[in-house]
Amino acid sequence: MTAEKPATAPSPVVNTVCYRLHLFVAGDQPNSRLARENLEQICQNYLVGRCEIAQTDVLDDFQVALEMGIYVTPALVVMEPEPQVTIFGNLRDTEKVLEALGVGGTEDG
Amino acid sequence: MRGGTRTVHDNQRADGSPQHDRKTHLTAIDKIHTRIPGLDEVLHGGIPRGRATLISGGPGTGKTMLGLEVLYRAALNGEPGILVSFEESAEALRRNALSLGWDLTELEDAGKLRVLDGRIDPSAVRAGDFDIAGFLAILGGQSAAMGAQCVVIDAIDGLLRVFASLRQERDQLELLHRWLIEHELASILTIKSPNSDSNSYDFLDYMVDCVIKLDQRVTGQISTRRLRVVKYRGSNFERNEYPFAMTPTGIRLVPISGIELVHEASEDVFSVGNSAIDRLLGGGFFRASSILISGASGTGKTSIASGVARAACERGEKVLYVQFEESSPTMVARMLSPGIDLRPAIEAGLLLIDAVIPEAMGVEEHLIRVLGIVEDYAPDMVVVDAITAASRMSTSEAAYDFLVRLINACRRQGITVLLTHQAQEITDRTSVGAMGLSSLLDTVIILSYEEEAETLHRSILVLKSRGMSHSLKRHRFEITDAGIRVTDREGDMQDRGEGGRS
Repeated sequence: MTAEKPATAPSPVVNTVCYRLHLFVAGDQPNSRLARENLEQICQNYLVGRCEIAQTDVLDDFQVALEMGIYVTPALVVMEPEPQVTIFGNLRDTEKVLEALGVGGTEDG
Repeated sequence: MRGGTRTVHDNQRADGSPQHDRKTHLTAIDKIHTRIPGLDEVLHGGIPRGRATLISGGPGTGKTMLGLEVLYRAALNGEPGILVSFEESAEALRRNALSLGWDLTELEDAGKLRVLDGRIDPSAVRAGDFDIAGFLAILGGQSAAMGAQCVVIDAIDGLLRVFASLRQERDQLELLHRWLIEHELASILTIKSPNSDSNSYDFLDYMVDCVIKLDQRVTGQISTRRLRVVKYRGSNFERNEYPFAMTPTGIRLVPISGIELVHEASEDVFSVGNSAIDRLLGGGFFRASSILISGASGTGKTSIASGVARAACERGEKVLYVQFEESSPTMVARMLSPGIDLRPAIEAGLLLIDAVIPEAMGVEEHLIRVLGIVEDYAPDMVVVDAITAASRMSTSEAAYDFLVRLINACRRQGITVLLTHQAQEITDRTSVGAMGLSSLLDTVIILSYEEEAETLHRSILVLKSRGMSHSLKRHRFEITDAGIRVTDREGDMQDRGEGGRS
C-alpha cells in the first residue's frame, strides 16, 4: 500500500495517467478470489506499466478497512487519479470498471 | 421508576468482565440492562445478551437515540460497546449526544465506546457481486480489541441499500445475524419503517429475538412518542404501549404498571393544619395516601391545600406544589388574605411552587417534568392544583393517564399526593367521579356553596376518608383573615380551626 509512485515528471506526455489502486478482499472467499483475478486481467489488458496496486485482506487487517470506510468487500478504491472512486464487487463487469477508471473501451498501451 | 432495578436473572456481570456464565441459568435469559428509566421494567430486565434486538420506527421517533443511550449507559458502567452509523456521520452523532450532556469522545478515548462512520459512498460503482465481509471484519476486529459486548447498527437499511435485490439484502442480513450470534454479541439494529406496523424488511421481526416499535403521534396538536415491545423470545415483557419523552438527559418512559397494585397503607396520620378539619376527617391524612379536594371556583380549594402544605413545611417536610392555575407570586400573595403566609416555607427551601401552563407541553413532557422534579427535590408531599387543568394538556383520556401515573409514581415512593379538582357548578357536589380517579383516592373532600335564606355559605363534606371514622355531615365553613373556620349548622360541632396554626 505504500508502494512508490514512479517518478513521472509532469511532462506533456499524452495518455499516460498513472493509477494507484487499493484492493480490499476478505480472505479466499469466492468473490475476493474473483476480484483479484479480474483486477489482474484488467491491469494486464489496459493498464500495463502505469498502475500500482495495494492489497488489504480485511480478515488480517481490519484497521485499514475501518480507516477507509470499506464495509463491503471486495472493493477497489481508485486512489489516483483524483477524484477518488470506489468500486464494489468482484470486478466481473469490466466495462463498468473501465468506466470508473476513466479508461477508454479500447486497449491502449 | 429507576431503570435496572428489576431483573429476572442474577448472573449479570457487575464489573464488565468479559466472561459470563450461561450455564447456571437454563430457564431465564441473560439480559443487558438498558438503564433507561422505565424501559427495563417493560423489558423485564433489559435486552437479551448475545442476541439481536430490533428497533423500528418512522423518522424522528428516537431510534438512534434509544440505541445510543443503551450503549452510552452501558459504557458509563464499564461495559464497552460500538455504534456503527450508516445514516449520520459519527461527528453529527457525537454532537447530538453532547447536547444531552453525553460526552462520547471521553468514553471513546477511554476505550469504552466507539462510534464508527459506516456511511456508504453514494457514488460508489457496482461491478459484480460483493458482500458484508468487510463490515464483519471491522466489527469483529473492533469488538475483540475493546472487549465489546454490544453493538448498535444504525440504521441497518442504510447498509442494505447498497445491494441490488431484496434477495441479496435478506441473505446479507441472515449472514450478519448468524455472525452476531456466533460472536456472542448483543446487537441493536434500528430500521426505518413508514408506519408503526411494518418495515421494508418484515422478516427481520421474525429473525431477531426482541422487537421494539417506536412511533410518534399527534393528538390535539401535541405530539407524543410511544414505545411498544411486540416480541421478546424467551422472556416475558409488558405488552402495553408506553409513552416516552426525550428529556434533556435522555429517554424516559413511565410505564403504567401497577395500577392494580395495592399500595401499602401507611399507619402514620398527619394533621391537615386545621384541627377542625382534622376532626371532620377522623384524624387527618394518612401519609403516602392520595387526597382530592373538589369544589367550584372560589370555594377555598387552594386555601385548604396551601394550609396543608404550610403545616407540612412547619413539620420540616418538603412539599412540591404544582400550580396550573396561577403564577407563583400571585398564589403567594393571594394566600396572605386567608392568613396563610407561604414565604417562610419557600425561603427555607421546604416549599417549591412549580407554576406551569398546562398547554405548554404534552402530557408526557408534563409527567416526565414533574417526576424529574420529584426525583431531584424528593418532596414528602406533592400538591397538584388543579388536576382539571390536565385536560388542557391534551385529551381527557391523556389527563387521566397523567394523573394515574403521577399518583402511582408518588405512592410507590411514599409521597402523599394532594389533588384539587375544579367542579363545574358552584353548587356541584357530585362531580366526585373526579375524572374517574375515585378508586385511587383515599380521601375525598367536597367543597360547595349552599344557598340558605338567599345567602351563599361555603360548605365542606368529607365524602370519603379511608380507614378513619369521619364526619358524614356537611359542615359550614368560612374563610377569614385568620384562616379557615369550620362552623356547624346544627351547632353540635364548635371546633374552630386556626388557619393552619394547629
